[in-house]
Amino acid sequence: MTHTDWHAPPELLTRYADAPATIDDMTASSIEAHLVACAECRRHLSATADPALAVVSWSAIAERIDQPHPTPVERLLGWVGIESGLARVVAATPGLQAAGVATVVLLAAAAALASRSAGAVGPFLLVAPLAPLAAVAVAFAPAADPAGEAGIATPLHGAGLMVRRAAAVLAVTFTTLGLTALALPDLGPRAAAWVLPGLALALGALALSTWLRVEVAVSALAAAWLTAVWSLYWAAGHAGPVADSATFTAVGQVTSLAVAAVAAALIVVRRDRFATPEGF
Amino acid sequence: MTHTVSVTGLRKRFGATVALDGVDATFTPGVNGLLGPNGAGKTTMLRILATVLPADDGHLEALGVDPATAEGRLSVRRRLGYLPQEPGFHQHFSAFDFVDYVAILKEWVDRKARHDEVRRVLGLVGLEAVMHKRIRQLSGGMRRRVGIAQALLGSPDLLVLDEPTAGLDPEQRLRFRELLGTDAAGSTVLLSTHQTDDVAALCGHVIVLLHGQIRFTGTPVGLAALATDRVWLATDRDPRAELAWVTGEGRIRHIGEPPAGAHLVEPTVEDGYLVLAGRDAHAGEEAVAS
Repeated sequence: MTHTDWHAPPELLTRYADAPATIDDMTASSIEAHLVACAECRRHLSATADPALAVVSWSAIAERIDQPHPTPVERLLGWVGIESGLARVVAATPGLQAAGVATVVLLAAAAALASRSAGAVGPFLLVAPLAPLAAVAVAFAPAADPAGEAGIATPLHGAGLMVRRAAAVLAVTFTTLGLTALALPDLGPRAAAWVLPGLALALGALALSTWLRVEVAVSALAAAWLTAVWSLYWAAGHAGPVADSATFTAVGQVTSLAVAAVAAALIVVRRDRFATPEGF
Repeated sequence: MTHTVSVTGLRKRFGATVALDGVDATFTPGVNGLLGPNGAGKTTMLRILATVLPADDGHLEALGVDPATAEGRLSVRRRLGYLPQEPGFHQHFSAFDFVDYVAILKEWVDRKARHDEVRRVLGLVGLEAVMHKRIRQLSGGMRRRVGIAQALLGSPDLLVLDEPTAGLDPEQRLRFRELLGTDAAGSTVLLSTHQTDDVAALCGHVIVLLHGQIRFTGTPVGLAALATDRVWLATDRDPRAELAWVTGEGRIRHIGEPPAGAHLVEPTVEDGYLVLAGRDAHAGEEAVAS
């Protein structure tokens, strides 16, 4: 700070503090430059200005400084119209963090590579439905909430938040799998036969998690899925490709849809269980 | 004074372990302390009171509603601040981000008002200067204060704090005590602690839990009074004492039936607690022996 002999006229400082709109930008900039160098004018301004104005100004400055930097997922959710606070809560779901997304991408890539090297869509159809299951496991495992138990004891915690998070996680997972499916050797309608089983398994895991720990539910359903596909395949004489397993035919697709619908109904009926997860 | 929280016949079991065995208690506005050794059931009781864990049996009423119902639980959670024993912290969150995240979950929709409140509670625990540091870069004591800050959001009517002073240095503990006396004045505060001096300094009401059962309920003065005429100092250890330890002055402090002519001293809250815990441990040994 340097000493200065010149001082801003007191009435100008009073207007600067009380009615800044009456001062043009050039004069306001000159006053601000002078205030930095002149302790006496700063004292005068402090004595003149309304203390409430200082509180409001400081709050506005702090707000600008403290503005959290939205992550890419938060921005994406904002673009689709989700309010910034809710976008922050949804984006903090572990399944939408780098490790969770990487898990889904790696699973999808491994499934696509296996299909390409086999020259058939079967391996992808077998593995792809497990990706939504993995996403559910990562997103809803015990202690997965970024705030742990402190987050559970809040009014927003419950089925509503779980559904929003599940929708976001599954949207990312299904988009990733859909894009990966473009790399499959057979782009016929059967290349989409993983969608309904994937949905059934993901919703089934969420429904079962109202009775069991989510890791147990996910492991049980993954084992059940692999067992069902292979047993139906072997029961049919395993002459053709895996994609011909009954799981991927019309009957299998309708069954998957029915399982998904039952799971969704169970989630609605048992929604209260998401508010206080036993064994957390 | 009218109670704000009451539990009746509260029971909780984890497999073969009985964590709470028919607990009856009432709490009024002010600071209520829960004392007990590890495994006594303190954390289980606080988790049930904080609506994160359902009881197996018994009834809980908090702030005039039953948290076992969806409406009651929502109502309590809107007026609750909870510090778990081990808060989860997101790896990439700063202290500000974390408290802001919990504030969103507590339905602070207006961003400006929410951020003002986040700054306020972080200021209360003295973390203004480090609020934008990532939590993983903070010390254990600072993390504890971040946890306390999120519990204070909105000055809740019911504050459930599981070992809030663990990891705090003496100055921070003093600040925490002042904080409860000012920001939480009028609230019902339930806190568990191993620090009997915290109980003496903070609590108007104290409960001692042992093996999932309440062994004492009353004031800290009443707890200390349990050891009246049972605490004495000597230069040598007396083998007949139930408990004995060396003090900072190098003398031996004893609890038990004093010998004739013993140098009796004024009992503290810790002495009263040890009389209970010592009796309990003694009873346990006899039970095993028989």
